[in-house]
Amino acid sequence: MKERTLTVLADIDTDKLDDLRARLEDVDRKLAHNNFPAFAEIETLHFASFVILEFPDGPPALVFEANFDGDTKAFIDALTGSPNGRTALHDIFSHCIGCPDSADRLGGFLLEKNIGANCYYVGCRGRTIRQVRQEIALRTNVQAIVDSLPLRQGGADPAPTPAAIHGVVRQRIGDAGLDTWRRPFLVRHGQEIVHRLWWCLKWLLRLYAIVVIASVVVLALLALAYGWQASFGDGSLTDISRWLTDTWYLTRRLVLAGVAVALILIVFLVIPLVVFLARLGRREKTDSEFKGAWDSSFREQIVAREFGRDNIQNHFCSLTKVKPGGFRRRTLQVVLWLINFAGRIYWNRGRLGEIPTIHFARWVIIPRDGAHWLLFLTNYGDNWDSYLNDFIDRASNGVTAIWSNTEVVWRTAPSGGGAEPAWQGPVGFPRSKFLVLEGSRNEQPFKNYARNSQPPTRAWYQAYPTMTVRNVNDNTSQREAFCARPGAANLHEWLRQV
Amino acid sequence: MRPVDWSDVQGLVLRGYPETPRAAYLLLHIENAEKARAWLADLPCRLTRSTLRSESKRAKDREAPDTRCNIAFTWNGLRALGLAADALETFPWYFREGMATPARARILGDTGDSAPGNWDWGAATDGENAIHVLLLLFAANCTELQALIDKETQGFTDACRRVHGPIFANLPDDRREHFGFRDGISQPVIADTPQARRISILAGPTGTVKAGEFVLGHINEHGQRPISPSVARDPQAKDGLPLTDDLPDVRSDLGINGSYLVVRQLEQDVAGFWNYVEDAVRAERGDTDPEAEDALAAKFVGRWPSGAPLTTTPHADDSGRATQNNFGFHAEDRHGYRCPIGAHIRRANPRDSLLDDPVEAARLANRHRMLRRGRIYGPAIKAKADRKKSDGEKRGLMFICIAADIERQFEFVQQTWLNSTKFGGLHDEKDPLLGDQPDSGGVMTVPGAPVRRRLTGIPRFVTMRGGGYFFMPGIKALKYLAAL
Repeated sequence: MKERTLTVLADIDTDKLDDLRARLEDVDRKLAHNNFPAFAEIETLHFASFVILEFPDGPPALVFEANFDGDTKAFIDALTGSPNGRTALHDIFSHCIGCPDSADRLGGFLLEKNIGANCYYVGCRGRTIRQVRQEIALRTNVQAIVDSLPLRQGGADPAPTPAAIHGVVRQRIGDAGLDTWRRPFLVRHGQEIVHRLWWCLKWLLRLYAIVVIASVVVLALLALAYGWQASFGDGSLTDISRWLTDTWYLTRRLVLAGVAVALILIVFLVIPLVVFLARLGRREKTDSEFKGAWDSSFREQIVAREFGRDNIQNHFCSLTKVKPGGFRRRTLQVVLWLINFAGRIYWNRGRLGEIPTIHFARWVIIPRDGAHWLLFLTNYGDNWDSYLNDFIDRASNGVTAIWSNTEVVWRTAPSGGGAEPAWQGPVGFPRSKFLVLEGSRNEQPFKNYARNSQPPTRAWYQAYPTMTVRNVNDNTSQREAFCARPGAANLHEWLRQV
Repeated sequence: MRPVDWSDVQGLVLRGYPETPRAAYLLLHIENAEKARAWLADLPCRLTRSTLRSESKRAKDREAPDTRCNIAFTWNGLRALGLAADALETFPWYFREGMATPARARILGDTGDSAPGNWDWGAATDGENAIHVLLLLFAANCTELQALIDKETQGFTDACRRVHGPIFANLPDDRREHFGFRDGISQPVIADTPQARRISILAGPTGTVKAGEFVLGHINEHGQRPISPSVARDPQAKDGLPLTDDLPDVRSDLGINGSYLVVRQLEQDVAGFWNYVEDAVRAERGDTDPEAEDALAAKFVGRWPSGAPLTTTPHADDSGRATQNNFGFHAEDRHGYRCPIGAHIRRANPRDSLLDDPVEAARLANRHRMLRRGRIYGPAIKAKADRKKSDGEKRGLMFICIAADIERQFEFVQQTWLNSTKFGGLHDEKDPLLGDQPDSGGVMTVPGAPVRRRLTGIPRFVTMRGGGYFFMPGIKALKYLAAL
């Protein structure tokens, strides 16, 4: 899934690592004042981050994550479109192995190093930056107009009716040149529908293929077991009338068919499931289990970054090692595939597994040095502790199904000071049962596991830093209520929201 | 699941001591560890425990004055007592670092005048002003309280030095804090206590909270025993502490039956509060109107001055409902037309309102409860007419709360609910009573018909004067500390 997600992963030239850290610190400072050239001029970027991943064996890697409108190619073109932006980005990636010397060829390098995502979630689906900003402007304008209205209680004039308020606000919004709000067909219903339809069609075709194959297998087995004749007769009219009139004949046939279906289910579903659970259960009993404290050498850096700000939005990165062997890796791949699927068709109204604060989240499996790693990157609202509480309270099944396939490898600060931080682990995720139970419900070990797996975010860009997912979605529905035909119910709903 | 041995738990956990309204909080610095341990060794017989037995005995024996005594330590205090480094490292970060770090100040809203640098006490983590011990003393009247202070001071005189205070506090009969509202009504009820058995029929399944939310070593609302501080087990010496879950052979559980205590001295600007309310009412009606002022202030609080909740009593105060607590927001008041979304009590305890499913919402809200043991300090304002006059007196609330996980309980509520500009879908508002409002003034939306009121320019009414995170050990753990 690379056409609409961008996760650039590039190995860092170890000699230039310190230099890169300093460079990213500088970039982060510029981002805080929104004068980093590559992002300041671009109008389709929601969030972007730079993180340095360190591995026990092998060189460190730079991750560049971007959440944007439209497709990847167009975004990279826009990103590398201006000479200033191109140079600024090239200054970062020139610390990586294989980066072309010329900034002009940076776009190709980024595309080549893009590893996409195994699972990608968008909180405010279909809202472009443009729409988000327009709706912020609408809300603040409407708010100011309503504040200025003579609505004082106990005054001489009777309170104005909802319709009168709506009329005045509409009038003034129009006068202010913000008339575009009247368009009833909103962007989120527009371009996204086309994309979503195409996507659903693709999946329907695939599902259809599965159904066809399964039916063929069922029929083949039936024919093999009982013979075509015995199962279905010769298809002549007398045979069909027999189906309808002879109850015993019908019952016999139905029982036979039932047995056949049961056999097929056993062969294709129950046996694999039992085998899977048995293999999983053995591992779940014997895998190591993390119970410790948050003692990663990055702790102070992370605290300074997360708690030093307003905490309306936050960034979290986690790097864990997929447990060795193909079993865990394949399980993880299937789980991520399912969550990605569910995120598209079911959790597409601002909540992922009932977590209401996620702007964007992605999971990527990275093959590296003979092992596999799970990289998780997310831009979310509120503070870290409340986010992790949501993980436990509202989505523990999904969280456990993903991370119980992983183990954490982290570095602790040496107690004496001075020496390089020492590698710890790998230690497995808090013990799960049947893949989804327990695990992340071990509140404190789970939180500490997540913390130890966290490399600090080096540089971070937010397009609308004061907004939560709920704010964005509420603004859209306020706009819809404002634009709707002014019936009594609509007006009441709109007035409640202003 | 093992039952809680309440005789090993300090009394403040289960009770707020309403029978001893006078309190003094002594903040001590340990000068001599050996003498401090000797003092502590003598203390357990005078400590009030969560069992009622010793008190009823005292009540019979009226000759001894009815007093209460509890003790708690900062992390630096435990270090000063001589607790080993490996044991000190098993405490959680928030306790090791304390309340006054820049990061915590940020998340707790201790900014500007409330910043740790401006506190009267609690900001220093080392040096002679570092707080090590908090001694909480309670008595029925001032004379008995003074006698108790004198007696205890004699006990620790060579061991500890008073850094600040004593801070005297009071629990008035009407339970009203200085703004004039009844406080401390909503308290979590701990499961498997006599109180819980009394109210469980009324409150339903979400009405009680598991003991592990407040006392270490027991099952909490996540169905687990929280991580507890531990000490290296000496197989020869009997330390009297139980084994730990994880490493039963080598570590003993120091946290058993202990709790964390959050103490915050919050100064209240009563005249500022009521003058703001008066101005807001005048701006709206063109005239002053004491009744409308009470009504607007009630919108800030979420309860009427008597304590009656706006959600069940929307139109006028009703002292008959003064302590009503069995209500939710979901069914009757989802959009805040009665109790605004941003009102103080709704932020402090959103009850069943934060999810579409009210039962699940209440269950999750129960993971962020705490026991509050606050008392007011400074002279009370007797007449309603005086509440707008600035008399230069310092008054406020000694906020004390008890939790097993300060991060998930106190800090979470402070950060994610009270001080969050985005609470419950709001855009740009903080708690109207104690939020750290921006210099340009805070905002509060009061839903209404035909359209909401938006109050702006709300100043900061509450200033932090000092505080800290303390560990209140169980009795066995205290004996272990005394025997170090």
